[in-house]
Amino acid sequence: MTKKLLITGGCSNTTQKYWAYTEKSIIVWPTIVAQDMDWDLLNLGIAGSSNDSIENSVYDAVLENQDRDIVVMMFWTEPCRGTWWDLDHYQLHGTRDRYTLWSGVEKKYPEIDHVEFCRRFDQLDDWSFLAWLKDRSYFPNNWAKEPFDQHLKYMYLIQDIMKRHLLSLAYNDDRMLEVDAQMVDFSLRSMVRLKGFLDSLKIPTVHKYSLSMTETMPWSYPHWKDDPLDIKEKAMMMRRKEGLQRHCSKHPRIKEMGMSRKDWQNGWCDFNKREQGYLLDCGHPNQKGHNLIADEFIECVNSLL
Amino acid sequence: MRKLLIVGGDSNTDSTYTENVKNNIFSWPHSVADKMDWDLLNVAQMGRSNESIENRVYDAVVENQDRDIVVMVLWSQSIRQSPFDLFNIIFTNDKRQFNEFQTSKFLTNFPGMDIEKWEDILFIENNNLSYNKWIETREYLPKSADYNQPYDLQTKHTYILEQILKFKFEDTDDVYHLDEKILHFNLRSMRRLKLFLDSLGIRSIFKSGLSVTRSIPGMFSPWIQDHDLKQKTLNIKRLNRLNSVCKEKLDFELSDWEEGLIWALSKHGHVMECNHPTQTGHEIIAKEFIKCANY
Repeated sequence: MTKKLLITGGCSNTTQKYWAYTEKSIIVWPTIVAQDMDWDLLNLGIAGSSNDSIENSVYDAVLENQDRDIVVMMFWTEPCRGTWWDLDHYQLHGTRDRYTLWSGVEKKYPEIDHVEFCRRFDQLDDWSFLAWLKDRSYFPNNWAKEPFDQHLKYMYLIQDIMKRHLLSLAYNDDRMLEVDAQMVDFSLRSMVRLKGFLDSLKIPTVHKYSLSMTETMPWSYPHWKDDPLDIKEKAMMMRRKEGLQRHCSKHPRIKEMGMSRKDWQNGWCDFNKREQGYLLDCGHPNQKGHNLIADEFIECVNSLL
Repeated sequence: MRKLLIVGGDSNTDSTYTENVKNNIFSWPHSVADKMDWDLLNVAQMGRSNESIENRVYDAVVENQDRDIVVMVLWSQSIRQSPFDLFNIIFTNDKRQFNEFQTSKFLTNFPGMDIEKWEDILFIENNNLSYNKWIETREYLPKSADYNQPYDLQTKHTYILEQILKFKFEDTDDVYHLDEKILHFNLRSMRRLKLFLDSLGIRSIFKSGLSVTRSIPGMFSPWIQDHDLKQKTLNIKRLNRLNSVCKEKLDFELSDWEEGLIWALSKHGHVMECNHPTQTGHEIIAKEFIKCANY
């Protein structure tokens, strides 16, 4: 009998290639599950991936492997992420620091003038955006082979523009709640559609949720996560979070996915897991965390097989 | 029980598309529903990407599963994106077309707008003005304008996004890979919807309103106005290659994918100046769909 093929979908909480796992030699949950069950593995997790892109990658992989005995495990991500034709991803709730201080650009380029690179981001307002993107004078020779620094700038600008754009669509508070809800609906459709597809092929599937559907959403726009907020802005954040909780608590697609309140409100990587020592500083599962995630997936899949 | 016709598409299908309303044009889904004596749910919206067209039809079918459904989709071009289904971006790669398309959307909302100044800001000064100043300068608006209306800002945001993506992808080593990924992304939406409808036993007819492949090459190259002979030659090569990939990958019925139905209509003068079908054009599209439905 041929071995089963385990297909896993997700974001940085699933891919083996996330930098922190490489740095700390962490084995991610899909590898642990596949080893434990003695299955072949096709891990499609990509750091930064959006839910629609996760759906797409698993959908394609299942079609390409229909001759195999497939099991699918999904570790869905947060709704405030998008993709450009699956070529690239963006997420909207980041901090500005993520593109400068914590980007790891100085590890990639030991020769970079890191202070000058970080300062560039404060100077964006003084530059035309094209000149700002193209300038690389923080390198000794104004040049570096790999475009990692430019990628950071590009991601930063995408996030900034998307924040501005979403704000222009959400011209009043009520509209803001609608925009939030629509972004959540966009993710839920991907989950339900993939579930329907896999069910129709009778493929055993376990769905779990790595991040909250509601917590990070209010940070998607207009603010950056490291922006100081005044009282009015804080109150609006709270209203949006509550609005999303109301939206999710009676959403038919949440029910269809069999999500518990903890699943959609907290996600797996929540503050409890941090307190219990399952997460790294960057919020991703450490080895203990990945072991636990693997155990939970195995427990669920055993009840299906 | 009467059948329910669910229709998806972009401005070539949307009955509320501005030029349709202005010229009292009834879009093709009305003709089909009338002639077949079916109820109609037209979920088409102008500017939509193929992914978003899929999403809207999917939702409409799920919500109407108690009905006897027929689905017709007139798909759009591949270079569009609809982030979170909230708004639409059309990466035209053509500065003029970009401006005309975007400006036509908000000109009626800003009567008296200084078009020359607007074009200067959009196309020339973005290289000179600071980022914030470029976005926030709205000197082209008349004093009487409602500054809360963000249409011009949305155009600028879209313009920046297109520039950033050009910048990001124009130096890629493998343009063919990019092209194929974009094509695959679009074909997936069509095929996935088809499989979903088939699994529910719902009859579906797909046609391409606009070419699936034509707009892709050159999207991440310089603006079309700046193309030299070398770039043009490369784009033709890319299109030929894409067409053969598409032919090989198409495992479902999708007529007119290479040129698009609208292009065929334009050859016979059945499109308006804005390149959308005239009333006769819509009747011809309706006939094509009915012919397939009866068959």
